[in-house]
Amino acid sequence: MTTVADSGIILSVRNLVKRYPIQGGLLSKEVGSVRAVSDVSFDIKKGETFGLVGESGCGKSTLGRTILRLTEPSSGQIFFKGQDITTLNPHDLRKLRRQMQIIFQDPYASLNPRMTVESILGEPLTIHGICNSKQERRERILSLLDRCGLRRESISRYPHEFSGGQRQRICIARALAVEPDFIVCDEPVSALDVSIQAQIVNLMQDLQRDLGLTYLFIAHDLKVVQHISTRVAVMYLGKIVELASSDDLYQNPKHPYTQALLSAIPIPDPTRKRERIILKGDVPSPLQPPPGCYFHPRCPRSKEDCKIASPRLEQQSDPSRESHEVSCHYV
Amino acid sequence: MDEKVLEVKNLCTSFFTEGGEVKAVDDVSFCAYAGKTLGIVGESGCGKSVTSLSIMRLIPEPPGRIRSGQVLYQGRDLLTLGTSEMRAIRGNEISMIFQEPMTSLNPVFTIGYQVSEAIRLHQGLSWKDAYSRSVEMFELVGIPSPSKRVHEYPHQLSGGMRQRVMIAMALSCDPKVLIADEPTTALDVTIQAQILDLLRDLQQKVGMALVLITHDLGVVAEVCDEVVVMYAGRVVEQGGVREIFKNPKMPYTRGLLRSTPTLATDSIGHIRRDRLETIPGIVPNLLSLPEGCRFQERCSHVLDVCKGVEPELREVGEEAPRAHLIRCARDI
Repeated sequence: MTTVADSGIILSVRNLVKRYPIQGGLLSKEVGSVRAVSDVSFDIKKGETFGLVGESGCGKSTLGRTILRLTEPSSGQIFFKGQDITTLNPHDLRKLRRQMQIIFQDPYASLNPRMTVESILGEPLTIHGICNSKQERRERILSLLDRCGLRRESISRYPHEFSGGQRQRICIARALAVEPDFIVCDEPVSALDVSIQAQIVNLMQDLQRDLGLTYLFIAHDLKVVQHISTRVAVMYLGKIVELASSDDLYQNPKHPYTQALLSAIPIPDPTRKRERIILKGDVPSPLQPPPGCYFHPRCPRSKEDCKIASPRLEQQSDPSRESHEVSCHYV
Repeated sequence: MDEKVLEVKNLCTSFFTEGGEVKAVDDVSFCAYAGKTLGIVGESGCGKSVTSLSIMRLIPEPPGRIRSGQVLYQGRDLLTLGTSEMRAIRGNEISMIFQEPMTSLNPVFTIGYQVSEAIRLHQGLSWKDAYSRSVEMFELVGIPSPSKRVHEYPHQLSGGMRQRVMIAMALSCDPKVLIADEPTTALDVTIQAQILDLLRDLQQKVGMALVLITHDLGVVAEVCDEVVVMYAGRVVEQGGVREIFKNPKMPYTRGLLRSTPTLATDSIGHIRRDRLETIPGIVPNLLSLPEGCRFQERCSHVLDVCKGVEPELREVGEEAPRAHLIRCARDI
């Protein structure tokens, strides 16, 4: 993996699996497991926004957290700038966290209500030993506030004094405090109103342009993901079923699940009537995923062999076009 | 001409807090027609949910109080009814479904019991008849193997199925009006599509008026016939759905429409990825509203008159069958 730095790939995930054991019976023996993420591989290029979409319970948040080792992977490898981080010890891992940060969905739950903005933003600086003098530290915090569109007076305030959108700005400022290269954004705008969503999306795009950040953008809102992402991966029951450039995926979706997902987005245009693909049933339980292709019980195109063989994520053989990977027997 | 089933006239609902009176709904009027869908849109805190709770007389008193206005249903003003008369209206005539189906269902009773209970109370059927009616209702809302499912508990169902149970319960007494408060917000897109489809189907079968409260303009465009846009307790724009989306006049409505990514494509087929337009600032605090127009601080077209008196809701154009109303001083 020495050539990774040259090829512009910042993060590589190889065969990542996260299983959660289920305990039951008298002695809490392991009676089964939930595969939240099963055998996922992909690369994220430096400076891009990699979108990850899927419905609730598909494993997208678990994947995001596992990449940062906030939850430990069960197997598989994660390479960050060419280094396998699955084997790092806690000390080295903490040093690495300077380069990779996360923004969570709920700006109400992810800020300590008893800390001022100054201590919230100062904490990562202290932990990583950045800005030793008090003056320097304050300067840095103020410039973070400027960058994220917050007033300088905010520095001595507490989280409850801010609206949802402003809190999310504080969360973004906290992630930026240590000058990371890579940020996992786990549903950063889902809890916000539409007019505020747009403000935060624009801010994130500005920061990316100015600071050369790379994002893994996790969301269930396909419109927002499409808007912000360079490439998009669609997850279903712990697996990636389709991965392509954002334009290609939205205009030319190949997997039947992606097609259904896109056709289900309500479009704010009453004159546009589209052919809707309405999927039957619900997402199956990850406790007992169906045999073969996980999507076959809901798939309008499913045939006999879909119930037996599980398809692999494969490159579509059209070299003239951009990379477009799909996991389906009938594409 | 459509049949008018519910008319809300100059409704004002306030909450009395330590900080003073919060006018959550301030002079709101609209009508719901049989077989038609009215959408109420707005951001959190704009008063859309309080409006629906006021119609159902479910505002907790104190701290809340319906200060004035009328809610006319079949010639009667619901706001003047006594508790028991109102109870006869709720469920029977006007029904409601809520955003979070898990919290609206009782976890310790089977879903069949809960739906039957509603039917028994409102229609005086025996338990046996009520149960068979709930099986019918479950079938109507597309719950698979309904005669088995009636014996299940809410935790055994998925979010989409729970919402179907809520819809079955709400429609079990053939109401003339169904108020749906963010019915699909807690659901995934594919399930949302199923539920919206179901509501539309049922509306065609039953002919009820649907009042849909949502923050999602996409949902409005897909299912509504008429739209009411609310901001800070006020109706700021109202009209037929095509007119509002094609020709939004109030700067707030325009801002809302432009701040959502649209998946629209440009002339050469690439998806347009322009910078999103934003509405600067945040919703004003209802305790300290500005003089004049409530949107002035965030409006890019603000004039001097906006800062003086609050504009009245006025008609700007007529597109049959509904008038297009806006609350804006500018001539557009």
